Amino acid sequence: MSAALPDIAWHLLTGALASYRDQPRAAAAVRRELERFEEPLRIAVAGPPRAGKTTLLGELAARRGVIFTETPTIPVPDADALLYLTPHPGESVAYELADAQVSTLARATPVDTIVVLSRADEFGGGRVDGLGSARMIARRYQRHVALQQVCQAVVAASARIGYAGRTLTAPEHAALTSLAGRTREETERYLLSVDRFVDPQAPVPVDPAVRAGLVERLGLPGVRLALTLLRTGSATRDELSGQLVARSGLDDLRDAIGELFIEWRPVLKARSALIALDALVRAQPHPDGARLLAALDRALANGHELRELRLLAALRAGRTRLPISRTASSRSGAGSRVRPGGGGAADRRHRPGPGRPAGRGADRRAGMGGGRRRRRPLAGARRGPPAPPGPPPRGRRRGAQL
Amino acid sequence: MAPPWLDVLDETIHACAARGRRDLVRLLEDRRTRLLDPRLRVLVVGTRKQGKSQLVNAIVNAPACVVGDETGTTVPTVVQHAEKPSAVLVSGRADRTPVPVDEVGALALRRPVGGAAHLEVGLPRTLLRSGLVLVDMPPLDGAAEPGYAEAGLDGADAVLMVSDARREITRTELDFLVRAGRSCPQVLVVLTKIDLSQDWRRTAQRNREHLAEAGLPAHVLPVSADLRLRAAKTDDRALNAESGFAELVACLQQYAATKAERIAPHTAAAVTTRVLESLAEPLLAQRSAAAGQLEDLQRSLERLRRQSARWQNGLADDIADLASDVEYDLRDRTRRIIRTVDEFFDTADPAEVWDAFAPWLEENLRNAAEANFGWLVERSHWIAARIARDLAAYRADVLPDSTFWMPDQVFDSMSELERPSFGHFSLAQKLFTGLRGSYGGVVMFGLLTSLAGLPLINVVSIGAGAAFGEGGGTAAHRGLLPQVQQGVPGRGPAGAPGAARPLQRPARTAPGRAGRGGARRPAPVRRRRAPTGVRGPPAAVPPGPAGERAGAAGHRGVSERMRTNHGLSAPVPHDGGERSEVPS
Repeated sequence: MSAALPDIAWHLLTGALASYRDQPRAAAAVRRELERFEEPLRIAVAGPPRAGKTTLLGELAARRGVIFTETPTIPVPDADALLYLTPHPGESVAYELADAQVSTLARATPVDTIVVLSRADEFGGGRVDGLGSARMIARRYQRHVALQQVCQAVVAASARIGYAGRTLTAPEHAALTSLAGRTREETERYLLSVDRFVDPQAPVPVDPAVRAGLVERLGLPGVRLALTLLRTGSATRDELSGQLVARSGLDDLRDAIGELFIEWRPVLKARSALIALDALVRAQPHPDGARLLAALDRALANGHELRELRLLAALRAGRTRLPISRTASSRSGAGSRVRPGGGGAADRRHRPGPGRPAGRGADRRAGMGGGRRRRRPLAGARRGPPAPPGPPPRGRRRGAQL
Repeated sequence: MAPPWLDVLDETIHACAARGRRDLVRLLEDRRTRLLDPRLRVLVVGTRKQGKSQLVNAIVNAPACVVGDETGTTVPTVVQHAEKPSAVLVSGRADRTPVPVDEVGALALRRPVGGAAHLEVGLPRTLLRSGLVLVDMPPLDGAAEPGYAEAGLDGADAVLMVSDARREITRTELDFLVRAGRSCPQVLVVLTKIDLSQDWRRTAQRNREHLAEAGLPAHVLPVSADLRLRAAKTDDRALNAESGFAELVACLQQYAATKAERIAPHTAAAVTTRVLESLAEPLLAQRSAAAGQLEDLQRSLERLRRQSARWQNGLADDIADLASDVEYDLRDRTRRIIRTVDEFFDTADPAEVWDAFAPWLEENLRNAAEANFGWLVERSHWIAARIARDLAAYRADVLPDSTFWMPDQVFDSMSELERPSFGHFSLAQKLFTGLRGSYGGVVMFGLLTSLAGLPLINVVSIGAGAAFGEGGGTAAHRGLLPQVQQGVPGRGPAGAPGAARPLQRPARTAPGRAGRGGARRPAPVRRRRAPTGVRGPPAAVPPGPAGERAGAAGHRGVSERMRTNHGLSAPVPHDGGERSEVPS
């Protein structure tokens, strides 16, 4: 049984620090990586202009132990994880992401990326069900063979709707309610275009300036959605607000970030450190270099946490399923969600058993292969004895293999 | 009569044929055929999810092209007039697969790799009857290989760029339009989805500015396909007007109607320009190659010039150093001789020792000059070798075997040492001097004795006068001695450090005479180094050791002889340290 990835990474870094003590710059770089180990998880929010980065950043807000940064381009140096925003889904996203992963190690362990179909409210040509169809597309893309290999999840989210829903004011609610009070036939012609909706001549019971404000906040599809929600039972402000937030997909995104990134902070940190160390060793040749590279390679290939993480993503995406008896308990509430490194029944249940052959090929099968083979690690887990509780997130113990 | 653009096109075709550019000939002939074709082929292009297909559908008011959130256009769809609705997938010249017309809008086609497949949709529409052909292209930034849309440009008469009204036109789109303008100058930018945009008017204005900045004379038309389709469904004229399609359709109709008069000449001009550029390309390449060669030569010339300046400067510096070092050395050597001469004449009477002194001095000076000259030669060889090293790096055969030679009779022209005039004391002179002294004595003692009551001139006073007279003669002779000594050649201020001598000659005389005809003095003294490096050349410079030693030996030999012959007790020291050994 190999040691935990964070321990291995820490050990490799301190070892590299000793090896590079005669090269001040390289040593400083290693020291920087060691410092980063202690720092909060850095999640970069990247995407083309007008993809909705800033709004999303505002909605994700600060979470403890996480720093979000906004950037127009990838790759993002110093980021442990990436939210890649794209207004339009497509295979080209996979190519962009693959191109951005410069190192082989990074490419072999694509556990740091979530693709976000931002501006999901504008899908479906602005129809009321735009958000719903965006969510379906995201779910389909999650199983797309090209996207699977570059990201952990595809989530549709509209930060605009989420923000507007969360901060819906009483006057806005009142205006929407009075609009919804009219019959569908009456309002329909004014909801055809923004021009018509904000037209001062339009005989609707809401002031044009307020209408313009609503469009500004929700967008025309958002207004259509809000009116539909009001007519179908979410009458109060709280209900409407809750519905808008729920439909915005932001909760899905937060869940994904929590389950795939934040809970795995030590592993993601260790991964970035190992990738950085790999780049450093390749750039600054050293007598110990070959040994370090081999150790790095082994660490990432054997790192069962990374395989676990890939498996977790596959489970989330529905690319694979747990046996029915396990599904109930593992899905019952946030408390028993799969957690990295730390002990807990749920964790042990997911961890591949010791008898399982480790290696790159196994890793690929676990995360990216066909559905039939993907179940094998689970079978192993079921047969094998429960793994001992994981070590603390970052200890100074010596890694067993090093 | 053929229009002028056709003549130009034909001439260009001839020119291309004459230069054997069959590819260009084929391209131009294709364009010629297309331009003469009365149909107007409009390429609908744009990036992903801008609403291209929906736009085409809205223009023809039928689901002719695939629309949807996920399924983008994968193969070009050619929408043209037909008496009955029809759809055919064309995968090759003879490979035409009919497709049910109703399914066209939901068709998810995979473009065969490397194939030039396209979908042909025929619709019975009045708009299309005039010859308008719309080609819905896959997205510019889609999964299709780059250049896919560009390939279609050669078969197009106009380009219709579709851009979402909720954002300004991007660099990618502008770049494509610039490229498109080179083969298809008729460009129309359509802003779609204005129904969902709040400030599409401002966006349209900004886009016009962007296009103007990029030098693209393109129309910007804001439209909403959704409004148009809805208007068609509900037969709502007002909504159709809001959709902005009336203007777009009018524009396309006008293009179709004026193709021969307006579009064809422009297109022909653009295509001809491009073809001529590509004809001239080899020539330009040649020119740039020649320019590159010229640049290389200029660079190497510049390098040579720098090198030449470097060795010339180096030579000038070395020669200046050499001149000052040689001068200092010579002066140093002569100064030592002069010091010896000084000391010698401090005690000796030149008149008595002159005959032995003159050859000694001459020999010493000669030795000094020879050593100095030898050193000069050696140094100059060293300089020559150093400069030659630089030159040899460039051209080894540029150097002669020897650069410097020793003239045979360097010192032949040295003049004989002139004997100075020492003068003689005549009897009268002696008597007069004696009298001058005795007179004082007589008067002084006369006065003294007269005080004692004796007459002024008495025996005592005359005796005193005689005694004074003797002393005065000696004193006068002594007073003359320095003058006589001063007359000896080689004495000067250089030889008398710190001593204030009443009758000093100008410094030049002695070394000037000694060195005459031998090593020529450089006129202005340009000492740049501190004289501590007395023995001359700096570290790497050979100090002419042979000459130095020979010179020293010469001195010693001469002084030995002088000592034995004339009681000169000190050898001429070449080193200041030796002076302490001189017996007094």
